[in-house]
Amino acid sequence: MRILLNRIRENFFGSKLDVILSITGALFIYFVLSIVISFILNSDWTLILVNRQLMLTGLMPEEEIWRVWTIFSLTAILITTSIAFWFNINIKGSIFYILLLLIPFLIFTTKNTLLYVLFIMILSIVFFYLGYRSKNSESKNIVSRIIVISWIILLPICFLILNILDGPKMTLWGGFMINLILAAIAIFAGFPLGILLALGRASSYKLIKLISTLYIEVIRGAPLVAWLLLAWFVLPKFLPNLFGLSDLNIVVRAMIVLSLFASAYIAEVIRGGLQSIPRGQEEASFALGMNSISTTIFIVLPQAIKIVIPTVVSTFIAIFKDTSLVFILAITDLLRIGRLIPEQQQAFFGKSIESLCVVALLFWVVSLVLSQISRTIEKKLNI
Amino acid sequence: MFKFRLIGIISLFSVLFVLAACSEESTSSGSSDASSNTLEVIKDRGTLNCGVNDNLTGFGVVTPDGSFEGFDIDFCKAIAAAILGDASKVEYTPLTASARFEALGSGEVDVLIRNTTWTASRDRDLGNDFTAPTFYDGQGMMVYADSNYDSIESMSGATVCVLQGTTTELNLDDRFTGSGIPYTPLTFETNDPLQAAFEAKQCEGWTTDKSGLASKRAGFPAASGGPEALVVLAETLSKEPLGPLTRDNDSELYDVVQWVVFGMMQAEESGITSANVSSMAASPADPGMARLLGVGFEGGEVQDFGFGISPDFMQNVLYQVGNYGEVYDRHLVPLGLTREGSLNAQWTDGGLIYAPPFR
Amino acid sequence: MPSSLFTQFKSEDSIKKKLNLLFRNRIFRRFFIQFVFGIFLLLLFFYIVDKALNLELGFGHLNSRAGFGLSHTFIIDYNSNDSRWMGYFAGVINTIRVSLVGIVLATILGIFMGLARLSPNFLINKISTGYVEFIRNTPLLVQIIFWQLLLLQLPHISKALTFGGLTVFSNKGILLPIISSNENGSLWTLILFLGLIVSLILRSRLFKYKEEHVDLFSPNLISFFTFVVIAIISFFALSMKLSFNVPEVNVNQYGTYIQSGGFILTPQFAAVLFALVLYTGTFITEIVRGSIQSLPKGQTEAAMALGLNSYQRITLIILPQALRSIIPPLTNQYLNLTKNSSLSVAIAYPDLFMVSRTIMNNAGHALPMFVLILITYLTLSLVISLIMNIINLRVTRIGA
Repeated sequence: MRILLNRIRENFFGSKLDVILSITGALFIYFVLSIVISFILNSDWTLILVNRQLMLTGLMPEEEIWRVWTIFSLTAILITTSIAFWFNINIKGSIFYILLLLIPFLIFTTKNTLLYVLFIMILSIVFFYLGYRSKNSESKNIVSRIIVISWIILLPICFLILNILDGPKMTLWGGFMINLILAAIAIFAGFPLGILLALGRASSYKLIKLISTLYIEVIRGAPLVAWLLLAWFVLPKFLPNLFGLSDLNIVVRAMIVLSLFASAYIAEVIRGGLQSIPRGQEEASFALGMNSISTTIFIVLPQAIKIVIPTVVSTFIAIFKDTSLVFILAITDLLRIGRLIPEQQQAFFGKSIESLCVVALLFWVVSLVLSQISRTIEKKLNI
Repeated sequence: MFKFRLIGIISLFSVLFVLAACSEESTSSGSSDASSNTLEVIKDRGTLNCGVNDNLTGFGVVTPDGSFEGFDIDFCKAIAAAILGDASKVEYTPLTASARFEALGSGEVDVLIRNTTWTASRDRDLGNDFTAPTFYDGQGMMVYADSNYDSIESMSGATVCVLQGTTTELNLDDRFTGSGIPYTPLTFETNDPLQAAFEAKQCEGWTTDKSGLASKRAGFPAASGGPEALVVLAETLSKEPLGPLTRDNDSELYDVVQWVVFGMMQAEESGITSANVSSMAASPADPGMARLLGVGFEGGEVQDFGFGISPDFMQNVLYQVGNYGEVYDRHLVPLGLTREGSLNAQWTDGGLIYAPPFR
Repeated sequence: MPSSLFTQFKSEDSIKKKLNLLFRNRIFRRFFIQFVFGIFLLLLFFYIVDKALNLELGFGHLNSRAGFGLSHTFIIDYNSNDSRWMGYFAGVINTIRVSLVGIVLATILGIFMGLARLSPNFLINKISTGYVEFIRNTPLLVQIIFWQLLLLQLPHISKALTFGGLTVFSNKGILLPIISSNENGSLWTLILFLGLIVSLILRSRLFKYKEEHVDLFSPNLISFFTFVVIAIISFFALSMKLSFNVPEVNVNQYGTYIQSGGFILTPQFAAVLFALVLYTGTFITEIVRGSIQSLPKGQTEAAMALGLNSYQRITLIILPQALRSIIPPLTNQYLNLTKNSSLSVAIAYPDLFMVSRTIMNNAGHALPMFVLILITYLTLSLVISLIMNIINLRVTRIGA
């Protein structure tokens, strides 16, 4: 007890300044918390219950929702297996994660979908157990490869599921789903492109270096909303008439622009990593007889990427948050729906702040999870 | 070794889904050859791509189950019924005011029926063709009933909310600055923040087409006073003829859209409704009605005007959607937009709804 | 390359061997690869130019009458009869205004929060951590909209909150008293600014002089005195008058509330500003924290051993050293803030992006407008980078 009191005294009341700071801080926290809690308790949250599907999947017609469920279950299974396999499971961390992921989960379950949800939870638990068991077994390498390959083909399979058997038009994809899909595509396509650009900028071929630098600086020079508008108004006139390319719909064009934008930022980050590799590595590999392509692929790049993983993941998070900017293309993403609900639905007039809070919460959860993953990867690679 | 296989798998699947995405595009968005005959494209495709509003009660809204309804929506359905025989074969693309012309110009939609005003610059500069106006509107100003505003002059120094990218923005400025009345515009991209600002009385006036004002007024939430708290000023700031539009040099579709609209107007003038169209088609009252419905008069020949669609297209339109009056009554009368004495009455009643002859 | 390769080339017989020889040579290979790449680029360039010529290019439409009004005009006097160039320029000024104020406030906030993050006081530490975690992970757009909605909750102007008759809070904006001047005000501000620079240069020169000679005077006092003299002389030379401008809210004959006087902080400007400052502040917090943490702990310990209190420790030892590694990422954040100000298109703040949208809607010509936007943002970025570079050079020149 006395130790506790002493600690409190040290931490909070160490000096005169500390006293003032602690009192101000306590008042501030009390003030903020009281506003927030009274807001949460006094507002009408039924808007979430009614608009779950609209927020998560947008204008997707009712009969196509099975596709979203399939994708969701596949992703859930993959996530739980990866967590079981790669992460160190301790009680505190896992409780935190489960709570964090369960809250939006529970918010979005309805009577109809309860069966779906239970089914997915059971499947996830099964795969979690399988992953955990195989962590220390002898088939570790094969399981590891399977999981990695599954992650890589997850995105194309999602596309396949969404389009197969005469799927809904891409402009109907909306809500939170389209934010996730756009972010995934931008990262997937932007990462290899970014690597190429970084290598180009660091290369000794003057022309390639010039073009890469020009590209990166120009793309980074304008805000993303400007590039998105360019994709909408100007890009269709520049696309060739082959393969139906000149008819690309707005969602595909948004994907293209987001990927190009992401690649410029990722290129800058990777360039920083490339510069921090001591020249000795390159010279040693040349001395061993490797040509420059092999050097780059096998020696320089792996080290460079490993060094900048934290920054790269924070760039990924930034790209995910930037997908909310597609409102300017009239794509019904989560933020646009969050703004439309108080406007169009009689029952929820004036509830804009509640709606916005839900939107913010969804973004926040995903960003937080991603940054936690980044920290875990950092720890694993001992950076 | 493993890395090479990984790279190989990655590239294989990237190619796979790029192909999947691309091929999905080329089948669903129609051929992109040099022919600008959208009518044929629509018939091939089997659906009509209609650019609409999803945010204007009475003209185009999304219902909670995801379907669209409204005055403009019904015209989309009518065109689909005319070309494809089925009013439900429409793909609706909601568009914002600032994006609508680009969507039409780039081929994303076949026809734009989105309460769009016919102006000279839009006809030429932006490469569109306006068909028959379906609604003669004018720009108005909506204020709170408990304010002292009774004319534009009284709004000196006020703040007015307006949408970006519309003729209203320019007309507003013309009216105020032209008369030397100081004002402050608050320009919003979409209607949601605009309405929020108006409800909080950040701006004293809301200006848009009077039909839009009627729809917004009808939907004004009770918490902020309901429709009775608002009043639309009598003055009309501009002429706003609203109607469907197609792309330039797209005459086949243009003619079909135009004459479907005229057909619906003529049907109302002739007294044909969705209820009696079958009996009228079986025994038309006069040759004019027969030509309209695409049947022969007393055993005579059927006249095909060469639109490229079946001659009895008006029967589908009238049966599945209705005539002009039915469509108007269904969507606009609940908003308080009465036809008597307005420009939208039939020409026989002193309005501007006038169909050229089906001959 | 030339002669030896050339003779070898001629001496070989078959084409295959000749090609082999060429490609084995490093210089030729590099040239060849760049050549092929160059051809490809040229083709792409011609293709793009060909397609671009089909569009309407040219900035002529910007000379015509604007026809639209703007809710915020600052420094220049814009009305709808001016050309579109003036409208665009008004938008640029709005962007610069919100970016400049945002940069200053965000830096201050970031430094404070960064120091708070490292404070041993548990509460302050947690407040700072909570701030960073909450605000950083939410999209900026959501925050801008949130602030706009929040500011809408302020009372209507008829029931505005006033504090001592000096400030007015309503949902039409926050009015603050300001010191205003007659028309020479901006000129005097400019002279003050130049005078400041002159006196700072004088100060550093005097310090150097002081090192070599006996000090009978204090350089600080002299330079300050110089500055004051400049200010007073120019004040009277320009016959300036200063007055304390108290805002007031009047009702005109029609019942419209007119705000006049003082400095008005409109809800739109405030929403964009607050969101930008808070959001960028989190990144600056992390940068400051990272920089300070990267300093060797010995510095702190030595400072404490010397008996410096925490304020002296931070301002004399920690911050000057941390500044060296703060500046480059800080520049990046400033550029991001400037570009993020384009998000004010979501609420009714007419920055340059929103004005160009209006012009595009009214006149078409999307591609030239884009080029203009690009050039403007690139110029802004360049100016900020240059200024920060100068600061960087000054900061890193001292010491090792």
